Amino acid sequence: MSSLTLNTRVPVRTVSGLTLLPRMLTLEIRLLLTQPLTWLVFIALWVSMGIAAYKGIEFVAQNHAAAAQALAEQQSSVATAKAAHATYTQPSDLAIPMWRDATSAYGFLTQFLVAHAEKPPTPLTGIAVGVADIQPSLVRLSFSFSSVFDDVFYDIGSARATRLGAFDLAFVLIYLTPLGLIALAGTRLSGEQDSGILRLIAAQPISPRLVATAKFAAIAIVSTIAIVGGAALALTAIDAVKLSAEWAVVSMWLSFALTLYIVFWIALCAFAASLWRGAVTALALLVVAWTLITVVLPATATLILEAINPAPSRIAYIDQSRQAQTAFYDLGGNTRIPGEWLVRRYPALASRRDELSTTSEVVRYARDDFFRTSLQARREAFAHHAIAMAQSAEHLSLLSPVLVLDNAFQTAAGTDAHRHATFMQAVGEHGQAIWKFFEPRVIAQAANPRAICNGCQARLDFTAYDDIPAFTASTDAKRSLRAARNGCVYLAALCAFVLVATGWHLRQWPS
Amino acid sequence: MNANLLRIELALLVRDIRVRWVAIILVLMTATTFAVALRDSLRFSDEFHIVKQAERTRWLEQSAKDPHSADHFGVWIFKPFSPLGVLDPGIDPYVGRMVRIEAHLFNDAVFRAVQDATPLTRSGSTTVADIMQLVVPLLVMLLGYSIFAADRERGTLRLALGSGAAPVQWLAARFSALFIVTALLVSAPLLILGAIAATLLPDQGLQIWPRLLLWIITHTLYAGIFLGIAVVISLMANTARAALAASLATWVLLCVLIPRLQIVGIEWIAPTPSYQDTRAQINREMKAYGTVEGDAQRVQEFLTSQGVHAADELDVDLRGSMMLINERHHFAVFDKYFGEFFAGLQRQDRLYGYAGLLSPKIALQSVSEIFAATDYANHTRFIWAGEHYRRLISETMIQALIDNPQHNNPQHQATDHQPPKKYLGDKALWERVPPFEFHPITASSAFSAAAIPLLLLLGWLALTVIAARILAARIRL
Repeated sequence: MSSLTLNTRVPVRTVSGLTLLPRMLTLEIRLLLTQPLTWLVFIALWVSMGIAAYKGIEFVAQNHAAAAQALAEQQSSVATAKAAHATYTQPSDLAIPMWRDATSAYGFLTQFLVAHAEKPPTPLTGIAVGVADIQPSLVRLSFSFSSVFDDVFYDIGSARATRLGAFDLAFVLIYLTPLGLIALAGTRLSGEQDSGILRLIAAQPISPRLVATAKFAAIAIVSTIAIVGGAALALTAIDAVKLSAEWAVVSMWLSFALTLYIVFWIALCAFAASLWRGAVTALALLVVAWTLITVVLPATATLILEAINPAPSRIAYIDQSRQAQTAFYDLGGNTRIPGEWLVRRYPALASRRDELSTTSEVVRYARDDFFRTSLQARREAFAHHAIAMAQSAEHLSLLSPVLVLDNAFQTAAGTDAHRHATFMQAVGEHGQAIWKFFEPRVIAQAANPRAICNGCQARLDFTAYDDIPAFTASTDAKRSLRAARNGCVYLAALCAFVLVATGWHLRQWPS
Repeated sequence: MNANLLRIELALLVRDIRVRWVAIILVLMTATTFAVALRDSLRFSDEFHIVKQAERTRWLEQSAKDPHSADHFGVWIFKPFSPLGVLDPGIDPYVGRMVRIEAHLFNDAVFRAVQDATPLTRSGSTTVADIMQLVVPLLVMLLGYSIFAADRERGTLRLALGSGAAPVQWLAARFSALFIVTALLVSAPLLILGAIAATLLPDQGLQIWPRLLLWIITHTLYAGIFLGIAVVISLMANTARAALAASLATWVLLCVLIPRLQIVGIEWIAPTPSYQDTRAQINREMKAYGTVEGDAQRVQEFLTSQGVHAADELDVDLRGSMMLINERHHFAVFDKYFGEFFAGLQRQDRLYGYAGLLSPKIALQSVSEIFAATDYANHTRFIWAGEHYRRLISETMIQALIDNPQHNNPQHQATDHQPPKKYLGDKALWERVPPFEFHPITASSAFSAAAIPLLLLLGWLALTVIAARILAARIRL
């Protein structure tokens, strides 16, 4: 069988790359744009981005609707209490037990108060669901007897859908885009090698680097415009037109990161081609690389993370909470502990210790204080674990570009684990702030119960509804900016590494 | 089928370096993820067992108190771990597995494992089921794409058929050889890992061995489907490159794209009911019911129904009787709203089973969760079992109050020297509440529940075999 042997040992006299490259690039771009596969891939990606944008809009709308509903419930509880004030300022024969009395500080706190803490969406929330489908963005604070963890509140929703993961813009850009790029660029050069065209090209006075540069740069240019442009359109559909200056900068850095991600995958395709093993091997290698980068490495990172940051046991925590519950009564929960608590917190009432330490208000505050103190170490362990896990995850995400870009998207969307961990800490502190806000009012009423009028059954001792501490949380663009910038640096370094390796392989034509 | 051909094909495959790589990758990945899952399951299973017993002791040994206080003290109940959850945790990490049982409240199940999992967990395949459902099809297609296309490209297909081999027989031999190898690669590690899990973790009344066998058989079938698809593509493609590209595109479509896209479709057809709405509706109804005026009216109605004018004239305790009336109202509200909510989720879950028509991966996920007893039906069953247990405790405690009226029991009356004694429940009363036992869905019921997705999986397999048979018959020299 005759074959054209390429002499790779003798340096090839090449035409100046600078002269040829623009022409070749133009030619390759034209060629690319005439291929049906190019349009098939881009249309598939655009449709996917469109669906993801629609889901993003829906996700943001759900967040807003949930917050609006929470606010309405809060207002309704206050309205109920105000109406009770209006009704019960008249003498009445009706006995009003504490748990039905919205006009008392204690009754309102334990039975009527509706308070929420909201992790507000950022302007870019629609791009990545992140941990938002498993960790609540809206927490209803509970002051009932059964609150063990601060983070028990969650929307059950469709666990199956949660398990499969959201079809968001991050999924399309991070997971599907590389597959589209492999379809476009995976058999460039190697396909020509298989068909024999490469021999014709190699017979020309042209270097393999120049040919590869023209071919892959053409794909990079067209893909970047198509994909980053598509993503920008999708962002606009979500909410981007309302971006403030600082969030516009974040978006810009995310676009850079996405561009570098596209370049990285095209560089990988070029690297696969530079091995000169033919299209089948190149394709197989690229899909294995995709599986490694998107599936195996993240799984490895997860296993490492779990090994270095084992979660404290929630079951053990439950057990300890029950031991504390039993211990409270065994150690004198009915009088001794409430009495000690009262004297410690309100020395002025020390002389009335025996009388007040049996009131339900004092017992309740003393009991919660006892529980909180008994479980403090475990609560802190959970909080520290969440923060440590989020921080370690950021470091371990360096194992895979998928994780780095995902982290940048999630941080910009405000749906990342780190933000959630700090949010939950703030929720715990906010709950305590409300509890403490009511404490002097509740104890004052227990110490000096007074009827407003003769025959008035309700306690009517609380009207400071507008002074109840409100939860405030902000959207921090700085962290998002840092994550996007770091992502860019990491991806740029990775691209440089793959491009250098590819360039080294492409110093000569295959023999 | 020609036995000689099969033997030759098997011998060739055994020597194929790709098969060894696939075996190594599969064993490494499954063993690692299994080891981590088993460690966690053993730890949590032990802890659950210890705390479950401690809870029972705490309940029985609690001091004498007002039965309603005991009802508030309550107990924690735990959903048992399915040993097959080590292979496929299903929805379990996304829903809670322990519930605080206490008076008045239909509490949420807490301890969702995913809450404490790493933020990276969902980026990769971290369970044996993930590997079987996502990675195995890829590996199988990489094994099978060249089964005919490479021969056609090299010209050896012409040579082989020219030697008199019937294309269908040749196809049968090659497919069978590949299927035997694939089945071994898939089922052997699963059988070993599943047996370890079934031996080390308590059965929990799940009839774990038949479930395990069914689980392995369906996963082997699933691998066979992708092998069939690879063979069909290989028969259609002119070159190995085209066969590989088409195989990979099919894998992306069936295993990556469609499973996520179907969520969008199902959400569109049957939107997930809002839990926040459900809770808000319940709260509204409870608040409207629980007013001072409402209480007074109900007391009056009760007294009238008993034919008396005052509580002192009653043979039963008024407070307890009113509690029972109120609780029964609450039960009805929970039944109505949570009933609708969970029914909505179950409707949606059934649709996921039908979505197996779009991709074998979706069908397998449904079957896998059902056989592993980590599916939605089992979770809902646990939630309602917990709620019924809660009602049993509440009704037992309230009945004790009703049967021991404060006003007409001489022991409870005030004397000149002592204030009135309150009726207190004691160990005899606590013992009237049996320990909580959860009975999961039986293996035979699970098999019935999995019928639709299972039939769809078989349909996929039949489709690929028939297509391959037709295409092989059309091969001409």
